[in-house]
Amino acid sequence: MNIEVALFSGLTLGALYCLMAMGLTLVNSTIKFFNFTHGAILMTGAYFTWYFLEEIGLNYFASFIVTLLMTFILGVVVQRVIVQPLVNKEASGLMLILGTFVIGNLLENGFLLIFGGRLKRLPTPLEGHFSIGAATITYHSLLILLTTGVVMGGMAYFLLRTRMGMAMRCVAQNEQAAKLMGIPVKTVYRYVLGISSLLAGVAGVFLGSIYFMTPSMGGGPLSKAFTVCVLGGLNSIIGTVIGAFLVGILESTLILFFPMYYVTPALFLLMMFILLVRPEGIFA
Amino acid sequence: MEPILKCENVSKYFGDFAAVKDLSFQVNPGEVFGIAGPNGAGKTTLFNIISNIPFPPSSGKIIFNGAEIQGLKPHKICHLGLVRTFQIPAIFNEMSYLENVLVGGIFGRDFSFYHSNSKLSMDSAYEAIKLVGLFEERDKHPKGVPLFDIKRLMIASAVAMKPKLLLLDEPVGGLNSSEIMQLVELIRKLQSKGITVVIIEHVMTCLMAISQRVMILNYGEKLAEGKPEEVAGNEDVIEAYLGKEYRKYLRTG
Amino acid sequence: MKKIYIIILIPLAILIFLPAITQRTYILHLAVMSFVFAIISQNWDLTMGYLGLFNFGHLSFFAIGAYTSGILSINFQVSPWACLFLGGLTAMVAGSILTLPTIRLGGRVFSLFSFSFQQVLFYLIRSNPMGLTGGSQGLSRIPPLRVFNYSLQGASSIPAYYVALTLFLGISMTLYYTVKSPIGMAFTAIRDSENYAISRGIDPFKYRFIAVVVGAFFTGIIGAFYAHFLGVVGPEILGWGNVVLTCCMVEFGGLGTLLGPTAAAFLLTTLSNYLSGLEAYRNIIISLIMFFVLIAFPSGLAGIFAPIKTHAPKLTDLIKTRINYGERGEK
Repeated sequence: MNIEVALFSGLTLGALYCLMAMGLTLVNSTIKFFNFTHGAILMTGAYFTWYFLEEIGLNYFASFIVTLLMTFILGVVVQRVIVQPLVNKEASGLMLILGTFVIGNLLENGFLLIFGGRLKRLPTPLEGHFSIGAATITYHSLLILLTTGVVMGGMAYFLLRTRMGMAMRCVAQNEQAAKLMGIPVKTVYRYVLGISSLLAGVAGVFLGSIYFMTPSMGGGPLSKAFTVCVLGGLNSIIGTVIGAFLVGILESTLILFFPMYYVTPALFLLMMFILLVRPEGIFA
Repeated sequence: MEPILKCENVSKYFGDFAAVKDLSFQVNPGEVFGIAGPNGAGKTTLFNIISNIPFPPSSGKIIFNGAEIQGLKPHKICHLGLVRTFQIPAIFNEMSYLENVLVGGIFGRDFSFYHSNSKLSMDSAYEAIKLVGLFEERDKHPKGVPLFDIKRLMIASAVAMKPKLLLLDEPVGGLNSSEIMQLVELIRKLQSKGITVVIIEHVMTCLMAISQRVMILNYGEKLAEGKPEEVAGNEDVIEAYLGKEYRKYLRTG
Repeated sequence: MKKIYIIILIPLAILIFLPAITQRTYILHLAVMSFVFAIISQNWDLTMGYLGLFNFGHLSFFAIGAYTSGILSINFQVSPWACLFLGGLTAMVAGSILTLPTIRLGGRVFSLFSFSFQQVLFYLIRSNPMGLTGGSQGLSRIPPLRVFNYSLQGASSIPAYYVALTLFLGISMTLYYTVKSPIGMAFTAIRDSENYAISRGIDPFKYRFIAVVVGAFFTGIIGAFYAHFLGVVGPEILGWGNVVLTCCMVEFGGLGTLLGPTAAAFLLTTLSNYLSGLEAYRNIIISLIMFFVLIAFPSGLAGIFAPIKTHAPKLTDLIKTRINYGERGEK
């Protein structure tokens, strides 16, 4: 393996992390808590697509679109079921973390019961690869990069150009003021969780096509997404994007030299270091 | 007579904005020193930087009893004898009245594990709560109680710390006239116990009645300083409070 | 007699005479496990409930206590009794490492830092450094505590039960008296209104440090006991399942009341063990119950048993009995 391959897979990985972490950042900056269902929803994204593709027989594109819808709805459900009741209570931070974790657990075990624990894999829609220099690039990775770009672009448009997007940004900056201006905060929360879950779902689909799918596949990516968020600044969207690609490239470079097993704890150590030295995140 | 508190060229900047700008003044031991000024003049910020809760000055020196205290850890400043109250009344919700005052009595005089000296702490707490007139209600819980009680508790917990200098931030805000009179009495009692008091107040009658000297701040700078009567007639002060139009009335009237 | 004494004394009596009441080792085992988790929860409540500090690395202290004790007694033949203390000591050192650099940076930083610390520790244990931790298999054949020539291992050993009970009562009482002392008063003050507490002479960093370190010490000791009692210990004690279960004990019991987490520990440990055969269904049932309790009883069990709250330190009661202040406040 050489540097070009590492760089390119780093980019792909970065795109994935970007999708995963963006949802966390969105939730954290508006509703101000760490959404522990995120990992499980990522998993549901993969399984939804698998279900519609394999069991119902839709084509890839249709399954993907349906998955987007389902994960969005799932996010809204999570908001109504656990976030809304707890968000204004005392010690809500802890309770939300516990609550979302419990929901995530329910999802994991539920899907385990429905789909079984056997490893599955999502087929890739585009086979084949080409070469640039010494690097072999699969069309699938290009598809991932492209889709991520489109999704990110869509999100940027949404945040900057639509009313709901503006409402979200207002709530993130000052919730009290937003309420006073008549912004329906509960609805904003629903959209935030819906979009964040949608992003997680997309990440899940891609992850499911590169690696294997199991009902507990969400845990690892969740931890990585955390690291990315902390690195990039918990409230900064641009920081998260940069952080995601940095971590992706860092990880694929590190894999060249160290065994895979040590990369995750290394990232955590990095996070601890960043917390000590620059708690607001590198790009706050 | 050495001043008990001396501020030399203290400033506090938030970015480019100067909340307190190059302020110098001093407070004499045993007096009641009033601070007034229009809203946003930097009065509470001044208390914040003197007590280092929640931030120290950006520059300048603060000298308390001959020692420089700027930037010292806030709880250490308390232990030296400089205690403050807050504009928005603060209370420990989960403790009774007496326990609230007791916190000051135990921790305010340099509590250390080995000599918890509970007797001394209890004594000072009891004295303090009697002084503010809340002895009868000492076992009540402070949820939903009148503002006057909370304000008195805040002062009592400060007094239990046996302070040398007390910074009172708008102690009579929100009180009716009878309560204001009682509080003025209380401040006089504190003064008679030898405690120096620096008081920020908007209610001018109260401020002028009890202060030996008064300082007026405007936009973070000192506008006037001196005896209450002198300051009240100061043209700049009137302009700051009421606007330029009133200045001409003073000259002709 | 005050209600509170009845509510505590009856279960206490049952626990003291439990080996006489039942011969079933399953129940004794359950009791010992409840003791262990009750200690973990109470100590976690010290930082989370009393000080409002979200310490997500609390179980690290348990694991450090367990593994240190195991490693020392297996590889270096240190006496298991000494290992109990050493386990606590090592956990205390870890607690200091965790708090000293981060406590000034704020609660958020501390939570994330302690969380990462626990993750790194988990991977470290699983990677079996220098062959010491046994990797994913964990440590086995940990020497038991011995009294004379009698080994105290497993629930069939009655003396082991009483050692566990003694630890449980001893540590619980120590925590109770700490919380009722001026230290506990400082904790409550810091949680209620930090700036006001500072203005009354309390150094929040000092007390946060004390809370974490004391909690770490006792959790380490009980971790060491756990290792010697079971004879085996594995990295799953740091796993998500355990973390969430223990966290729920603290949360459901009621933050800031030592008794609540204790009761919740007994309940959840029993429930978790009772359902242990059902695998995925078990997790779902537990999750559903947790979800229900979170929504229905946000302030936890202790909210129901309000008279038992050890919430506000009644220091005035302790001192009043020694100094008699009359009706008008004179001595």
